Amino acid sequence: MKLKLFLLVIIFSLKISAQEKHGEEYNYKATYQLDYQEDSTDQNSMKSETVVLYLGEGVSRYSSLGKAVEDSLTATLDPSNKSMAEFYRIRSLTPDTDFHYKIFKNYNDNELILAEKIFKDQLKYKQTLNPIDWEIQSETKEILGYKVQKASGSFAGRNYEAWFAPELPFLDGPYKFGGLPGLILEISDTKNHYRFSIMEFQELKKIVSKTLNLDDYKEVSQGDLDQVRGDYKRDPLTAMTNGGVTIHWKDGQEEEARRKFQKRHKKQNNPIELQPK
Amino acid sequence: MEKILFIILSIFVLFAGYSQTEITGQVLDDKSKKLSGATVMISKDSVSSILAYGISDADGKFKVTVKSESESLFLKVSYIGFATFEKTILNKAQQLVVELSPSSEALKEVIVKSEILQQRGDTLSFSVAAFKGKNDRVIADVLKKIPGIEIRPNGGIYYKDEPIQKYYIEGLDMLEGRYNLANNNLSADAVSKIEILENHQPVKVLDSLEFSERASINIKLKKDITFSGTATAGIGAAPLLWQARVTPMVFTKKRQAIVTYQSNNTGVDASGEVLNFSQNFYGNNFDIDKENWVSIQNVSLPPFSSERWLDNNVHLLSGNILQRIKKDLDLKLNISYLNDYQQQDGSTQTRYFTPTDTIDVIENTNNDIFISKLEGELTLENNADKNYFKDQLAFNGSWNAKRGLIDRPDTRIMQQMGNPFFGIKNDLGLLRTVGKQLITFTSNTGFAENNQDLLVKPGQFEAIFNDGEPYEQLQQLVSTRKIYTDNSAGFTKALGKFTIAPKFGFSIQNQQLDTDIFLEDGEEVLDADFKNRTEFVESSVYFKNSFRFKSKDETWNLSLSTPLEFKSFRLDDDNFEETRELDRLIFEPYFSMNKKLSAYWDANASAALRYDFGELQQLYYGFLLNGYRNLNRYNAPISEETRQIYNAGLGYRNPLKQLFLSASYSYNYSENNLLYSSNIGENGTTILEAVALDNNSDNHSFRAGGSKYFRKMKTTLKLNTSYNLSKRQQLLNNTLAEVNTRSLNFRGSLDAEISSWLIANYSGNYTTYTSGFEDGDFQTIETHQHTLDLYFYPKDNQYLSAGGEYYGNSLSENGTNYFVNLGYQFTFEKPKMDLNISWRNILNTDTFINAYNNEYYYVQSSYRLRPSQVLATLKFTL
Repeated sequence: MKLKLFLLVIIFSLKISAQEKHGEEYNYKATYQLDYQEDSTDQNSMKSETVVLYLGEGVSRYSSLGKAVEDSLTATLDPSNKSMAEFYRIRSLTPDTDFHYKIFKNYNDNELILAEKIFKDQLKYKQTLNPIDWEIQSETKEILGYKVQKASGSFAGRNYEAWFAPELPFLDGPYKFGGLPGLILEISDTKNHYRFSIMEFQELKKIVSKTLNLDDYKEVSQGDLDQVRGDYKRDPLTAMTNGGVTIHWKDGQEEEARRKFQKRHKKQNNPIELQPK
Repeated sequence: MEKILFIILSIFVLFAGYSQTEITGQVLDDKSKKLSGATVMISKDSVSSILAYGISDADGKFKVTVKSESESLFLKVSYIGFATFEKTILNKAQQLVVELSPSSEALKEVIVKSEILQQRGDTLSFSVAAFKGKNDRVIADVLKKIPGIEIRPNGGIYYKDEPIQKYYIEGLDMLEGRYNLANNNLSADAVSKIEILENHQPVKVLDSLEFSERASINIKLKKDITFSGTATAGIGAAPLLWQARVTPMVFTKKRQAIVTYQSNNTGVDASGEVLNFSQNFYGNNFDIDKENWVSIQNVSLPPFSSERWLDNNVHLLSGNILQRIKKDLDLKLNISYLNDYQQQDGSTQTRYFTPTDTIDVIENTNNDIFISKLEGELTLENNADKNYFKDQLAFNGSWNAKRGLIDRPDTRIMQQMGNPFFGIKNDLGLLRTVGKQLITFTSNTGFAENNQDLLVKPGQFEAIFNDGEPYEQLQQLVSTRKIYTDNSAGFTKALGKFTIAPKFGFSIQNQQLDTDIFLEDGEEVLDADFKNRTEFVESSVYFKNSFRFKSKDETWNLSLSTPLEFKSFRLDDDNFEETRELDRLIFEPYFSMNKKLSAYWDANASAALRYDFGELQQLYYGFLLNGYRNLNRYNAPISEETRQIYNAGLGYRNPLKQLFLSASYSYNYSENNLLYSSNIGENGTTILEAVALDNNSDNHSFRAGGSKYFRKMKTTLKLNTSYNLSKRQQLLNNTLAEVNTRSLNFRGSLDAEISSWLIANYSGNYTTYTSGFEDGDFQTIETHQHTLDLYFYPKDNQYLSAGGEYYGNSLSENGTNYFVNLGYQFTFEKPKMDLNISWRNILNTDTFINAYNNEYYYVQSSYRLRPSQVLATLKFTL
C-alpha cells in the first residue's frame, strides 16, 4: 500500500511539472490547401496537401494537417474515452504529409519558433516575425465571401502575391507569412511553385490548447536544421541505424533501398525558402 | 446598439497641403488597457481599398503614413474580440486615442466540412505508389523502405525496434503471425496503402484500458476482390539445381485465403515462410514445444547465408483461410506440411582442458537428416466492443529421423535416432467489460508426447556397461508425456494515466519421464541408476500486479512490475524412495527508468531480481545417454538459482555533426544450489552430474560504440567494441575449478557512396576469447572477419553486386577462408519479371574452417560447403 502511495506521489508531481510548460490556447482555425511543385524542373511534380493555422490571442500555430493530427491531439483527449470505432474513422481521415514542422508565432515577443522532430531529434530555431516588407496594392477581390486586398513582397528568394481579408483582424497567414492588416487567405509565389489557398475559416467551439514543451527542443540555426532534415531525407536508413535501430537485410537489398531514397531525394529540389536567412 | 466611445484628445498641427499625412495614436480597450497588435487601416472612404495600415505596438501606439489627395480619410481599427472602430477623419496629421469596446459578434466563418480531429495513438499511412520502385514485386519489398520498418532475416517485422503485433490485410488477421507468407507473395501492385497503427491495441475491449507500445500493420488493397500471388522458377548447376514456388491468394470482404507450395534444393530454408511471429496477449507458462532428449553429433554451422552451405531437398505446402462468420466473428484455419532431406559433412577437433590433463577428440561427421512435420491451428475469435473471445486449438506433429556416421582415427561409430513427437493444446481467452472495469479469464490446456530413441554402434562407455570390454551396441529409449493446465482471472482498471492489472491464477503441469538403456540383443540394463520412472509435478498459485506509467513530456519514463508467486515442485521416481519437494514464495521485482538529460544526452538504468528453478531436463535421477559420448544425470535436489541483474547506459546523439555515441555497463550475479560436475574420459566421453553445493557466478560486460557521417565524402564510419568478463565454478574430473573467461571484440564498418552508380561497403570484426582456471589461462583464440561488397547500377533496370569475404582464426593451421560471390539482376518491363543470376562460391572453397572456445574446451571445425554454383531464377506476379 505504501508503495502505491509512493508511486502516486511520483506521478502526481510529474503531472504538475508537465502542466507548467508552454500552454497556449487557440480559438480560431484557418485551413488552407497547399499546392507545391516538388521538382523545380518538372511541372508534373505538383503535389498537394492540407495545412492548418490555429489562431489565438497574440499567438498562432501552423503545421500540415497530417502533422497536426499525428502530433499532439492525442494530448487533448481523455484517455478513457476512446473507442476503436472512432479510431478507425479518424484513421481514414489522417492524411500523409511531407512537412513535419510546426511554426509558433508570438506577437508579444515578435518572434517565431519553427520546431521539428526529425526521427529522434527534436530541434527548433527562432526568428523575428514578419520578415516581409509588404507593399499594399489597390486591387481587391472576393474569396469565399471575404473581401480581400492584394499585397506583394519578397521572401527567401521568391516574390509573393498575397490576398488578405481586413474583416479577419489577424496579422497572420500560413507558413511564416503575416504582418498584413487581416488574415492572408491566399498567397503564392510568382512562379506558382508554392500556393496556399484558404479552404475553411472557423471559430473553434471548444478552445484547443496545445501543450508542447518547446524546452525539449534543442535550439539550432536554420541552416543546421535544414541540413539535418536533408540528411534524414537523403538517407533515412543511416539515421535510423544511428538511432539504435538494427536493420538486417538480405544481400544487396540495403543498397537498393538506399539508392531509391537518394533518387527520391534528388527530385525534392524545390524548398519553399530558396535563400534561407 | 453598442456603446462606442470616441475621444480625440489633442488636435492638429499644421503641414496641410502636403500629400503625405502621418497619423499617429494609441489603441486602448474599455478599461484603458493598451492593446498591442490591433490593425489600423486607412482608406479613402468606407468602401474603397486600404491605402495604408499600421499595427499597434506593445504600448498600443501606432503610426500610419498615407499618401492621398483626398480631403477626408476613413479610419478603421480592428482587434479580435472587440467591435471594429470606424470613423471619417480629415486628411491631416493628427494624433488619436481609440478606445475599443468588447464585442461578442462572431467573425464570419466558412466551413467546408466539420471534422473534429482526434487521434488515438498515431497512424502513419504510406501510399504504396510513393515507395514502390520499379524492381519491387511483393509487399515486403515496399514495406522495408518505409521509415521505421525493418524486416529481420527470418522475416520478422519490426517497427522502431519492436516487433509488430498484428499483420492485417483489409483489417482481417488471417495469418495469425505467419505473415511472411503474405508479405513475400502479395503483389505490391494490388496494394494501395500500407498503414502503420502506432500504439495499436488489437483487442477492442482493452482499447481504453491498456496502453499498447507496439504497432500493427494494415495492408489496404485497391480492389474489393483481389486475386494475387507470385511464382518463382529457377534452375542452375552443378549438380542440377531447382527452385520453385507458387503462392496464389484471394481476398474478399468476408473471406481470405493463401496457399503456397515450394520446393528447392538450393539451400533456401523454406520453413521460414510459415514461421509464426504471433504474440499471445495472455501469458502462457507452458507450451507443447518439442523437446530433444537425445541427439546425434553435429558440426557447428557456418555464419553466412544457408544458400551457401545447406544441402537440402525440401517441399512445403501450406494453406490458410479466414471466414468472417458475422460482424466481429472470424473463423481461421492454418495448416502446413514440410518435408526435407538434409545432408551434413564436416569434421571437428575438440580439446578439453581439465585441471590435471588435456584430452583431444577428432571426429569426422557425416549426417543424414529426414524431417517431416505437420502443424495446424483452428481459431475462433470474436472481437467486439464489450466482449472478447478467442479459442485456439493447435496441433503439432513431427516424424524426424537422423543418421550419423562418425569416423575417428581408430574407430567408426554409427548413430541412429528417431524422435516422433505429437502435441495438442487449447488456449482460451475471455475478456468482458463490467462498467468501467475489465474482467479477464484465460485457460490454457495441453498434452504432448515424445518417444525418442538413440542407437549407437559400437557401444560406448565400456567401463560402465561391459566391464571395460568392447561391445556391439548401446540404445537409449526415452518416452515423455506431459499434461498441463493454466487458468487465471483478473481485472484491469485505468486510473487516469496509469493502469493497474492484478491477476490471480493457478497452474499445474504433470510430466512423466521413462527412460531405459538396452545393450546388444535387446538386453536391458537393469540397474536403477540407468533407468528413470520420474513423475514431476509443478504447481503454482500466483498474484501478479503491474503498474505502468509513461510521462507525457517524454523526458522521464519509469516502469515497475511486482509479481508475487507461490511455486511448488514435487519429484517422484518409482525406483527411488525419497521424494524431492520444493515450496517457494517468490517476489521478482523489475524496475527501469529512462531520462532525457538534454537535447543530446540521455541515460537509462534498470534492476531486476529473478528466480529460476530446475526443469525436468535437469532433474532426473538415473543416467540418460544424450549423445553418443554424453551420459547425464541430476541426482541432487531441485535446482534453485537467484539472479540479480543491473544495467546502466548513456547515449549521446548530435544530428548536426552526425555524431552518435553510446556506452553501457551491465552486471549479473547469480547464486545456485547445484554445481555441475563433468568427468571427461580419454576418448572424450563425458559424464555430467549435479552435486549439491552452493556456488555463485558473475558476469560484467561493457559496450561502447559510435558512428559518424562525413557529409563531404558521403561516407559513414562506425566503430563498436565490447568486453566481457565472467567467472563460474565447475567440477572437472572431480577437481573444483574456477573457470574464468574474457572476451574482447572490435567491429568497424565503412559505407561509402563513391558515385551515383557505385556503392561500396567494408566491414571488419576482430575477437579474442580467453579462458582459464584461477592459476592461469590455457587458451586464447583470435578470430578475424573482413567483408567487402561493391554494388554497381549501370542502368535503372539492372544491378550487379560483387562481394569478397575473409575469415581467419589463430588456432587452425589452414584456418583462412576466402569467398567471392557475384549477383546480377535484370528487370523486364513487359511482361513484368525479374531475372536474377547468382554465382556463389566462385573460388570453389570446399570447406569452412572455424574455431571457437567455451570455458574449458575449444573446438576446431570444418563444414563442407556447397560447390561453386550458378543459379538463374525468374520471379513474376500472378
